[in-house]
Amino acid sequence: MPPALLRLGRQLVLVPIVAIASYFLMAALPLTTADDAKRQVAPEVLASYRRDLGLGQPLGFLRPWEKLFRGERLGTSAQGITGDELLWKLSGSVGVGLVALVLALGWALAFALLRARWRRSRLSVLGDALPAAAFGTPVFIPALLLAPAVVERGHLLPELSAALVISVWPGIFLGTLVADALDTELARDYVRTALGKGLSPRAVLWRHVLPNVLPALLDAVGPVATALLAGSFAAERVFGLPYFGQLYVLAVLQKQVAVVVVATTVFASLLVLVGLAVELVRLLVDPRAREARS
Amino acid sequence: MLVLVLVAGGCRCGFQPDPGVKVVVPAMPTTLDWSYSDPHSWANYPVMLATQRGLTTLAPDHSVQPGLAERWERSRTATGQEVYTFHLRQDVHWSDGVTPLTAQDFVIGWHRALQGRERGELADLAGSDEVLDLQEKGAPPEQLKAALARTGVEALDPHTLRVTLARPRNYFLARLANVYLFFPAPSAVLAGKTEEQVRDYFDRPREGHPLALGPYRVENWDRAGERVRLVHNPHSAFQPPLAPGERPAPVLTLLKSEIGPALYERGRVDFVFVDSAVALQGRRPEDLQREPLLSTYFLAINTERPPLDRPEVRRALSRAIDREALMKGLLPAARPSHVLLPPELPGAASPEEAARLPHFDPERARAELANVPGLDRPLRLVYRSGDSFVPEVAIAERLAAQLAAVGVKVTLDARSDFSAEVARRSAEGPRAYDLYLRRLGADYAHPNTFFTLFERTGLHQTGWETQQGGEPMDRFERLLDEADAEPDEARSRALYVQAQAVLLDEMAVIAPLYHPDRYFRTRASLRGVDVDPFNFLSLRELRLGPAPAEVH
Amino acid sequence: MSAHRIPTRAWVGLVLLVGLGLASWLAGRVFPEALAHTCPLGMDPTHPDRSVCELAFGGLWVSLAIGLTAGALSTVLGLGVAMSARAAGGTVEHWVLRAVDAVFALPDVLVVMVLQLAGQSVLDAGHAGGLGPFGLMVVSLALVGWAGPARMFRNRLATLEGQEFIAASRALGAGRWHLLRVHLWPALRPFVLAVFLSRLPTAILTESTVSFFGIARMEPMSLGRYLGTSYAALIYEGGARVVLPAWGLLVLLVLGASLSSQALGAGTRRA
Repeated sequence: MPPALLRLGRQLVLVPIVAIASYFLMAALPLTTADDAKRQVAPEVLASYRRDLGLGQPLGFLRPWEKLFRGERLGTSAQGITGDELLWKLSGSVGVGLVALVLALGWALAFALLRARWRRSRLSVLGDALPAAAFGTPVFIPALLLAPAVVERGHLLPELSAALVISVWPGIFLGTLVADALDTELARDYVRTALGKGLSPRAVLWRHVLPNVLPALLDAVGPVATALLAGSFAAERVFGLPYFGQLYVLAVLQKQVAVVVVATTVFASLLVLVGLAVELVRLLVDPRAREARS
Repeated sequence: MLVLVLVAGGCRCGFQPDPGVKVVVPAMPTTLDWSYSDPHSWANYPVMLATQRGLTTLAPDHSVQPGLAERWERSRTATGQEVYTFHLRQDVHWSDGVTPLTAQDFVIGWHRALQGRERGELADLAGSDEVLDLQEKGAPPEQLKAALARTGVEALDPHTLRVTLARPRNYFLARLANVYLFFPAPSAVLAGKTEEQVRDYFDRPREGHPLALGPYRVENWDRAGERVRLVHNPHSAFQPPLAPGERPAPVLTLLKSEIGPALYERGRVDFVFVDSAVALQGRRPEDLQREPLLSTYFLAINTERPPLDRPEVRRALSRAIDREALMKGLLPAARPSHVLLPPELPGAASPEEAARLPHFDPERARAELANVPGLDRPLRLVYRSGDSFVPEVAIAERLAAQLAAVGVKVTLDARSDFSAEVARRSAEGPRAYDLYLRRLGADYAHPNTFFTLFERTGLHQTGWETQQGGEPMDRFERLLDEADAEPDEARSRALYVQAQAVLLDEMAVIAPLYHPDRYFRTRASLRGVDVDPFNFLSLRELRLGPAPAEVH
Repeated sequence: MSAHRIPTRAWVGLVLLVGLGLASWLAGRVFPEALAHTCPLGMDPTHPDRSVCELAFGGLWVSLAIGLTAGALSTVLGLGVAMSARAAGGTVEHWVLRAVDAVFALPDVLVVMVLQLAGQSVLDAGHAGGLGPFGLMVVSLALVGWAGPARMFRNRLATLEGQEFIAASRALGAGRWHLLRVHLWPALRPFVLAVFLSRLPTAILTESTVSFFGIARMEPMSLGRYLGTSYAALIYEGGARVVLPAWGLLVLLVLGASLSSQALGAGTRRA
């Protein structure tokens, strides 16, 4: 079997494991049904909730998927969502995430170049303070500062702001990585040789150094994608975006087993996809990866 | 960045993401199927009350007024059942402008409600016991259908509805106004649909359906996008009262937001609840409005956990609480109280009767709590976490401090899973909490609504039905039963007052703290929007002022 | 490694951290009264009987305790996993690394959220063996946080083992244990400290985000929970005085931790 397929197989194993683990973890939690009602819920209504979730049945963990494929609502009672709605919400979150990824790459490049410049000046302390400030700021704080200005304005403004807010820390994080890699690469002999040959520093940077920095960047894309999605949980809530992150948090809080199981699995699959995409890109841009494979 | 700036610039052209008047609600509805409903029903009320109507309505003074029924007669049968004959208004049509309202609409609606998730709410109806029992047993559908046909709701002719209650219930007319399970369903449209299709009919609004009776109807419910859009229903017989120059709002959008008050400040929404301790303590905006609720916030005591299993200890705790000091400075205004029934509720206790119930008496509390065995362990006080119009964190912290002053140590436990935690039992059997804080609201203007929670089948979670062999609970339920059936107002009031005394004084299951208010802000151009004393956002009289409403 | 080889930036960071710790200890534990009465920022609106300073500094003390314990626990866990993986080598190492990646792939916040919910119900049922909310938070943070350090330690060990002096020592017949104790550990020590310090702010931030979603139940109030539950004040007039001090403390803490952590990490890289 080609090694690429093998890798794919290993990555995909994660998906069913997450699906089953999340089901049993959620099913172990006590079911909340009481809420603000004054009277008790009829025991038979309760039992119907349990049946609905497949609790206590041997193949209960397949129940959410059964409902999903039949197009029924996930979750107990009239709440919960259908597969179509889930897909719609997911596309919203992924869209925000992709814009954020682009923004983050922009931040990363800008920060790396700035830091290289600051290094030789008095501003070098900024190279440390900025990442600390970016990291020490929970996403919900800038989101809250920005939200009143953009929410209910339409034109995808809340979505773009959410992307902006969640991209800051991953961007700076990537930037630090790139800057470190740049430092290492710039100190190497081939740079000196290239400069000695009379190439302009700009040409050396773009043609020789950056391609060598790229693998370091690719390594970080996985964790950054994770961070972006996690950041979107908080940002979506503050910006009132009814997308995947919002859905997920509410489902966990309300212990809607079926929704949590499906959403977690989708989440894991998404991360697997990101991992695969990174591998593909690596194959394209990194000769070392190609050699290792053949 | 450039893209952002461009888009932001483009936005100033006045583009509206959602048209019309925007109302921020604390939660989206969970269903629009008012007959089948859902235990999370409070979130559905704003939509239900704007789009539907009951047989009766309530006047501002809480008296019962005609609604869909223009008049009714009340009688008793020889077997002690109570029979209501409602004469429906003949001029009422559903929102398609053609389908008339008929008595059959109630029969169909109530039959569905008897099979819904909140069917317990209809337990007063004659024959409902059998229906509930059959469902409990999982009886075959034919049997259930036959039992439904025997329940006490019949259409005598298209405009006359006869309702039979198993026993007289003097709160019944008040319930009909607000409890939306009693609202009619458009039977002509539902005929021939399967249960699944009926639910789809209600929960996926399209092409003018589901039909409505109120001044507004749901045009669109974007479940995934979490928006509900209401439009004006010109065929409604219940139009908002229009003064010269006023008009009904053509479109109303209900949405949810974490930052509602900030959006209101910027003119982007037109109505918002102010449900935050921070906002209520700071500078008060001029358009901040206060609605006193028919509601009580109370401390409940776990009667099964020693030393709280002794009524005198519970009474002493109630006496140790200084309600005035508890509420001081937390809200723009507060109504501290040591009684369950709010004074403005018809049938509440008189001031003299209230004075006999346990109230702040620090000396006596200290004396009664001295040397109580078992009180050296800290008591765990559970309350709901998160921001709300009840400043729960502050109240809990002050309660702990006040009880510490009489030598009772209290630890605080803020829970997001409050109801589950309060219901949770320890390994030994009794529930695991010691004290909890909860708000109880009226669903209709009648003392009965305040007592339902504390009955044997209520979710009071205090375990007081087990105390003293269940005798006090039996007596309490008997008192309520008598009071509910008593046609004479004065006598019924006296019985409710007795029941309150059993709960608050004799057994001291709960210690009421104050009667909460709800705060909200609304634009001057928006007339008739109100929060009613039942804490429901009332949109049924909403209209726009003369100047075209400026909405950004 | 002797003291004079620790870079200045690391010193700055460490001093900042110790200073914050000392300040929170003095303010929150030793003289709590002083802050309760003389806080320039006034009282907290949600807790009207407590001052903002009292809550922020008192919370910082609790958060530091959580961060230090959780950070130490996840570092030790990560180190243990990395060392055993390295010692076993071959397929075992490969699969351990895959597991590490799997854990690392899921967002901290999400996993902590679910762990907290599950842990809280275990706690409620009384099966937690004396673990309180504090212990539960530490355990869930540690359970989430070990994967990153494990990855880093494993890579670091692999690099160190590839170096010439190790090969030389091995050629001279040194045993695995001897290698670890005499050669690898001293070279690894500052790196361990760096990783540990980098976990500290992560733990506090994760706790604050989980509190933002309304799940954590730290009592007494930690800085993370304080920030995560009072954030909404930002949109109200005068709310900034409540949120900004806690935020500032958090940024300072991150700055201290990252300065010292990076400097130590870089120091070992060039060593």
